[in-house]
Parts: sequence; C-alpha cells; structure tokens
Amino acid sequence: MQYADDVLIRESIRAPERFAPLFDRHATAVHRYLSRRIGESADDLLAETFLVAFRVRESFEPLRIDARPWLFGIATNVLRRHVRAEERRYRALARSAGSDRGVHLDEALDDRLDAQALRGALAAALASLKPPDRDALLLLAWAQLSYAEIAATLGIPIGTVRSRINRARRVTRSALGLPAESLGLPEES
Amino acid sequence: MNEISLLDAFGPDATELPDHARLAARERLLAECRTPSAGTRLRSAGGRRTRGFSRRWTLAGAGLVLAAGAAAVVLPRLTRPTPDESAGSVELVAASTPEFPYTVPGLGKPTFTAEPNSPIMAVYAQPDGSEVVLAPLAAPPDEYVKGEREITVDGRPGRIVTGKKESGEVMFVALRWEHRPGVWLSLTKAGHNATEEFVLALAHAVVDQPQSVGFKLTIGLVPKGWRLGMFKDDGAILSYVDPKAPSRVLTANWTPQPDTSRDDQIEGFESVETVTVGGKRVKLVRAAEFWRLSAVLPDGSGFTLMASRSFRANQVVAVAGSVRLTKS
Repeated sequence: MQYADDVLIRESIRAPERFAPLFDRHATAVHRYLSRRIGESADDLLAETFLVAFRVRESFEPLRIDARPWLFGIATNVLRRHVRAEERRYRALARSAGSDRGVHLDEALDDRLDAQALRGALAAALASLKPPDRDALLLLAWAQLSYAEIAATLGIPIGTVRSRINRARRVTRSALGLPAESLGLPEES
Repeated sequence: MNEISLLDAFGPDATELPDHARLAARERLLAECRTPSAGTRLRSAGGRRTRGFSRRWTLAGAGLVLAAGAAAVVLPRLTRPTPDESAGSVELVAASTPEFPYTVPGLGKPTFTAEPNSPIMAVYAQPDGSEVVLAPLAAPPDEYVKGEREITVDGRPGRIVTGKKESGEVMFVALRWEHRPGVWLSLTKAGHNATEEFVLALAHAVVDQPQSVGFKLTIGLVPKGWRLGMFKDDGAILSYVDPKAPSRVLTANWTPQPDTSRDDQIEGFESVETVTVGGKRVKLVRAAEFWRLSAVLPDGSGFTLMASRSFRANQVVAVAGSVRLTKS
C-alpha cells in the first residue's frame, strides 16, 4: 500500500518512523538537486535536509499532497549555509571549462563547439547570480517547481519569484551571449 | 532552447547517490526518529539547527556503509500485512531469548539495535564520545566501497576503508573481514581519531562469546517459525516476522502511558471487543489488515500490540498476556 506524502507526514507526528518512507521516495531527487548545486557535499546535505524536514514536519501544510516542493525548499535553505562553497564550485567548473570569459551561444550551438564551453559559461553565470535569484532560478530549472510552488517553498510572493527568475534569466542569457530580450516580467522592487 | 533548458542540459551534472551515503543518511534520519523528543526541537522551516546529530547514529550509519554490500542478518521491512499475505494460521510457541553472538572484550557493555533490512549491530560507547559498531555480515562482501582496499586479518581476507570529509578530516574507519572460515563481520570506529591500527586491534580481539540482547519489552509467545525482525530503543519496540511472508509481522511497542487513541480512527477499523489481559479489561480492535491491542503494564506504562490477521483473536490475547516489561 502506497500512502500519500501528506498522510505519512501526518502519521509521523505520532509515529516518527512513518517518516522514513518519505526518504526512500524522495532521497534520489533531492540528492540530485543538491549535487548539481554543491557537488559531493550533497551526500551530507541530503541527510541534513531530511533531518530538518523531520524536525519541522508539523509545519507541512496539510493541503499539500506531494512533499517534494517542501523538501526542495528545505534543501535550498540548507544550501544557504554553503553559498560560498557553491559559488566556488561554479567558478571552478567555469575555469576548468576554460570559458569563464564567456561564450556566444549561437556559435556554440551552430558550430557544434564542445558542450564544455556552454557548461563553463553557465557555471560562470550561476556564480555571478545573487543567491536569492539563483535559488529561484534553480528551483525552476533543476527542481522543476512551478512559480507558485517556488513562492510557497521560499515563503515569498509569486511576483517576487517572477522578478527574481526574470533577473536571473537575463544574467544567464547575457553570459551565453544571447540578446537581452524582454521576458515581459516585472522587476522586484 | 532557452536558458532554462540549457541550464538543465548543460548545467553542472548531478552526482550519483552512493549506496553507502543513502544508507548513512537514512540511518541518521531513523536515529532522529528514535529520539524521545523527535521533532519537537525545531519549529521554523530552515536549516539552522541541524548540528548535534547523535554521534552514535552517525557511526551506525557509517557501520552500515560496510553492511551495504552484503546485508547481514537481513531484517524485513516493518509493514502492515496485506490481506493475501494474512492467509494461513499461526501456532504460538515460546520465544527464545535473543543473543548477539560476538563480544569485543575491553569495550564495555554495548547496546544493540536492528532496523528492518539491516543487520543487528552491537554499539559500544567510547570515552571520547564516539562509538564502535560491530555487525555480522550474511556473506562475503561483493562490491567495493569507494576507497576500500584489501587486507589480511590473522591470515584471513578483509577489506578496510577510511572515510574522510572533503576537508580530509577522518570520519570513520571501517573493516569487513572473515572472522573465522565462512563468518564475516563488520567493525567500524567513527570519529576524527579513528585509525586503522585501532580498528584492526579490535578485530583481533573479537571473540565468539554470545551476549544477551536485553529488551525493555519481551514477548513470551511468538508464532512458530517466525524470527526476530527489528527492534529499537533498547527493545521498547520490537517485532517478529514470518520469513516466508516478510510483511506478516507481530509488533509490540512500549509507551510511557497507555494508548488512549480512538479505535475508530485506526485505518481499516472493523470492530472492537473487550478482552482480558493480565487481569485487566482492554480493547482488541480488528482492522481490515491487522489486529491491534493496547494494554497497561504493572508499572502504569503501556504497550500496543499489532498482529497480522493470520492470528486468531484469542492468540492475540495470549501474546499480549506474554508481554513483559524487563526494564523500567
């Protein structure tokens, strides 16, 4: 029998071991998100994420069914104490790709230049983003959360999510040499 | 392809979640679940208060690193029985006293623990706050843990690994070796001061001397052929399982106060009847997939018994009557 996430979380308040299936269910996805952001330290942060989740499980909103956005939000909070390490990693990836000077996307794609150039440019762009903008962008790109889910996860208005992602996308486009086209979204005030 | 797609396709790659890291993380979580104050320390979402993890379970997690390749006394998951697996009656027999077959002289008295799908482990507390974990392996190790190398212990084969953080700080040293022909054990010492020499010295010292696995709660009658499945919290929770149908489980759970939750809130509730256990009237609940009985112990604490529907009602009552509190 497969219990929904919210059922397990609710039951775990009285019977803590009921929380364990959530780990089995979501550990791989959470680790994947963490490891794209922090590398091998994701192994430790995965444990930390689930420990925090367990300790704050009473804060889980009962109307949610899928715990994934909630877990990604906690993982994002956990990552905030490792911002420097995360940025160092992006810069190292950019350097190792030899493309921290930037790349022109059209050339890279058209000429089938190595993907490494793209990787380097993207890593450099990620390193240059403000942490709150990067959080929102990567919850969208790597955790596949919707704007509404990101807003709920980060505890910010959806308009703020839009403006953060808008800003992060422009920085990324610029790093890739793409034209700074309007994304039609308001800036965060 | 926009920048979001590009980030997904060409952004930094994810790393695989290694089995040992998965097991260690899961074990840390389970350890947290076991703490009496589980979940009550933090109220605000975030990652601020995550320090102070139990060293014991960090170590236990490390111990499982080495148990991962060849799970030892593999314990089934604790699940409620499904209806088709409840078929077939059970015959109750006296339960034998569980023992752990090995001792490490000089390390003091260990505590014991076992999780579903995990080996039974002896955990020795160390003066420096770290712990040593000894666990049997069901078979010789197969896959190598990252960084593990071959070694001989008293002329028999083994493998040893030193786990380190990215900073280079030692986290644990773990050894798997053939203790005697055909018998493999896992020994792990956690902490920054763990050394191969220390672990090897302990391995040399391990003797075949059974230790009683003292439980807070004991069950005197169990189904014939069933075996001890999992236990935790020093035996405050324990279960027996049918090895032929591992989701057929008998579980006893000690509680500081008797359980007074509403019967009709039990999942699959069908009926309730009053029975006598230890001279006291208690309620026996029949649910779709299991029996549930909560009773009071002589010291005023309580226990809850859950049994698959393959039990008859009078057998559940008999089992409940055989439950004893051995430690206050």
